[in-house]
Amino acid sequence: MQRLVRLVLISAVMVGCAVKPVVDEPQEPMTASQELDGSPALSLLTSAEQARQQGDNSRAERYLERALNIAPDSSWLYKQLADLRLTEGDARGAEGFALKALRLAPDHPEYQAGLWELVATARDRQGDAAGAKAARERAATLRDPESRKA
Amino acid sequence: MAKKAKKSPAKSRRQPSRKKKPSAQRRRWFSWSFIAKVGLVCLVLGAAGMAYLDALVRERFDSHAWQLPARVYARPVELYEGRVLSRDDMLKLLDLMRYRRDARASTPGSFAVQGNSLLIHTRGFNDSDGGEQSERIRLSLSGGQIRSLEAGGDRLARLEPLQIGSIHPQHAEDRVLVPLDKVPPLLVDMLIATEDRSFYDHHGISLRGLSRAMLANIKAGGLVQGGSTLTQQLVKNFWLSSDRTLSRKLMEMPMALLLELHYSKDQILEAYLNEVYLGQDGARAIHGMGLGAQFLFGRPLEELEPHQLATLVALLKGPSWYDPRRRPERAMERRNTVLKVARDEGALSSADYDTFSARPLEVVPRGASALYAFPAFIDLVRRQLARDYPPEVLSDEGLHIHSTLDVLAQLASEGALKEHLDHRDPKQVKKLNGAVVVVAPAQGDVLALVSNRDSRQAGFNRALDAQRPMGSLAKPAVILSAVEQPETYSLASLVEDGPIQVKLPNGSVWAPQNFDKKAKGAMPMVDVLALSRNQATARLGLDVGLDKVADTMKTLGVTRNIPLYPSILLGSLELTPFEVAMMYQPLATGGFSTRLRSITDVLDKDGKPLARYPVSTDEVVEAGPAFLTQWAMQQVVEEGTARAARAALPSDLKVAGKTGTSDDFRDAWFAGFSANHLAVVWVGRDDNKNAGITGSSGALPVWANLMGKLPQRSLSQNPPPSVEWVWMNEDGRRVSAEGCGNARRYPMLAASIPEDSDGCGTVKQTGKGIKGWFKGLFD
Repeated sequence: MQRLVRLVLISAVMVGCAVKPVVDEPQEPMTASQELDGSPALSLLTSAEQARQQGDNSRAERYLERALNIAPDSSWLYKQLADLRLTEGDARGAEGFALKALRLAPDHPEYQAGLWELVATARDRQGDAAGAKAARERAATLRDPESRKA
Repeated sequence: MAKKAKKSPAKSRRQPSRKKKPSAQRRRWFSWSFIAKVGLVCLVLGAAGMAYLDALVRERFDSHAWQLPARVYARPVELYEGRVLSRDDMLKLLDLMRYRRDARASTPGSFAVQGNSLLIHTRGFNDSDGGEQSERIRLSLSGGQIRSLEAGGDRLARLEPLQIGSIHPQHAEDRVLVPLDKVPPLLVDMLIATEDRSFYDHHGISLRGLSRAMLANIKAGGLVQGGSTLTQQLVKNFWLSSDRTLSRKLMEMPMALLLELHYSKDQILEAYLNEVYLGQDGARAIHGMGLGAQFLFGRPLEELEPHQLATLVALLKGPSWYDPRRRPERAMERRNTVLKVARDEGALSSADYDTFSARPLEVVPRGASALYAFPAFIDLVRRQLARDYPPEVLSDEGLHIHSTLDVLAQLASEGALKEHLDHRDPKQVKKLNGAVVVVAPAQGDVLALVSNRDSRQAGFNRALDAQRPMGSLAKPAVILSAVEQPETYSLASLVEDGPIQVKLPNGSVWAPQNFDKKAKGAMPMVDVLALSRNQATARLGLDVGLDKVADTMKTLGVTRNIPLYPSILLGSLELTPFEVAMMYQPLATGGFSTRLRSITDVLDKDGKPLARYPVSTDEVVEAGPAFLTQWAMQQVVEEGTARAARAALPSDLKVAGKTGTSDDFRDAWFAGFSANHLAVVWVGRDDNKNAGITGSSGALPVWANLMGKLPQRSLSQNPPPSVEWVWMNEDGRRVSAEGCGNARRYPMLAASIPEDSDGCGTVKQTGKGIKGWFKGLFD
């Protein structure tokens, strides 16, 4: 009897789903201001970006470290550090920062997928093919709307 | 003709010789040719000597004109809206940096207070990100925070980093180099007026100056002017040792002449101002006006007022005789003489003379300067630098070392340790001492290091070198090892707290006791940690595996060899407080290991960046087990052996930690953290004898006190996706619900969540609970 009730309930939910399918609304791309809006860390981030454009990576890094002191839970800042390390050829450092960025990442599948790809690239460069593959799978899962719904 | 010529001088000389009946020898002695030869030899020797001196003069002056020790700076003070900073702490910082009160904050290094609002004229500095210009900023502080900040359109400002020491491994010479264009002109005027009025006219030596000085001295009835020129004084300071032998005196004049030949008056003046000896600070010789200004007045030379500049000039006559700290009357008299001479020479107006000669000496008390105030931390910096720089680079090249020291955290740590030990052991009968390490866990920055209850004393660096059994500080590693096997253990799993005996390979029996000598029976794993039960931890650790626990310790950052004895479960492994900080750092960050650093940047003497010591981090523990362990460590403070700390902390602040006591009460430990500060405290005796202390009574109060003084952020209570909150039956094996019997809520990894429920209440579990519900459909 209890089993019957459960089956009926499940069917009802399934019918409901069929009538109104889940719409896959595209998320706005993640930006710095989502995390750092109103924070003085934002101006340091801007300075870091300018320094990077001028090719002065160590200055950029110093700005980012200072920004992290102000906004220590900013995933975005860690992502910038990861990017910077990758450019500088420090793949291990890049992986560490990208994983940290993932720990702090907001619920934003596309952003998280990008971070996993960063992890994959960093692992590839360290010769860790299996690790890179695992990271790419994580990225793919995040981008797959079906798996996201499940 | 030739004969005649030869004879004639002989003849002329023979005349007097006849009367005195001179010998043939005497005649030869006076021969012209001999004189010519001696003259020639002298000339050659003299020329060689001059050439030698010339080389000496130029070599020293050109290459290493000044040996500049590397200078170590604290982290710059970052100011921004929202920063937690009390008005008192802000004023304390300005005082430490010797900012001067000035109603208009008109010059760099000055500030004005208007209630909660501060107007600060910053000094500006170089950094690897370009540094800061000197600027005027206005900030308002209230409720322990910076409420607003105006800084030329920017929302951020920085105060220059406070110099906290210098590194001179080979010799004890110290100096703050000041280029001539930064030297206050009045100082130069005073110097020339009192020491060498014809400086711009002579060629190194001044006979006129000498006679005038003598005359002035006779007139004054004492020594008011010296005879040697500034150039000669520089030679004496620069090349010649202080012993006044005749040969040194003889070298002084030619060297002065040579110096003038090669270098301009400005170069000589600059060298003089930076080289001149101004006194002694223990083993450290104070050279140059820049360091003199810092040593006596705690400020840069550029910021000194006329009476202070005059005090520096007064010292030239005799740094120890006119020492303004030990001989204030003499120093004052001499200072006013300098001011008077400056007025007479037109360098100072009469009005200024009246004003400034009435001012007191205003010398800062000895030891009040932040310089050399943090010997334990400087020792750490020196050790980290020594890996990358040879000693001569550190002693000569004037490197600027930007360190991670946070002055407020350092002062809070020193104060907390001293206060506690003064209370526990006021007369030092128990010979208690201690160490504190404070770290910003995410970046690995060492913010404070204390290695002595008298923190100004250098010597045995307990924080870095006192290697002691860590006691119960090892227990979180046991818990972490267990929760990393979620199929077998959760924080709700019951562990028997009762007698346990392990037969060791050498035949002896290991039978650990609980602190209270009691056995509490079965208890959840979280309580094993919170209540620091030895027998239960031993049982759990042996069950998990000694090798697994040792691996966890290594993963966390223990670099020492860990012998696989059961006693390591209860902390027989000896670590220094600094190593404990390394081991706890990943626990504080949810599993990210970051190398502890005391240096962020190295700049050259002109402020150009040379090297960075960047942050880097590795994920060493997965989010789930890391969160569980951190949560269990929070219960230590919430309801366990460290609950006494709660009183010193804001009630809503979530912190975690662990007490530690070694056998026979020799060592008291506490290691704990918030989201932004990790602090390790050790208290014990240097001779490793019974100190009669426990982690809770000996170390925790220090930790609570210092953490309470620093701005803290709570540990995150949001579990990672792999963890969910589950109400568990007290048997640790069945899911329960809120309000059911003794059910407790735990963070659980999915693999740990049991399928069985105790059937109490409405089971509204996610995860396995729901899975179980669905599963029921298809059974």
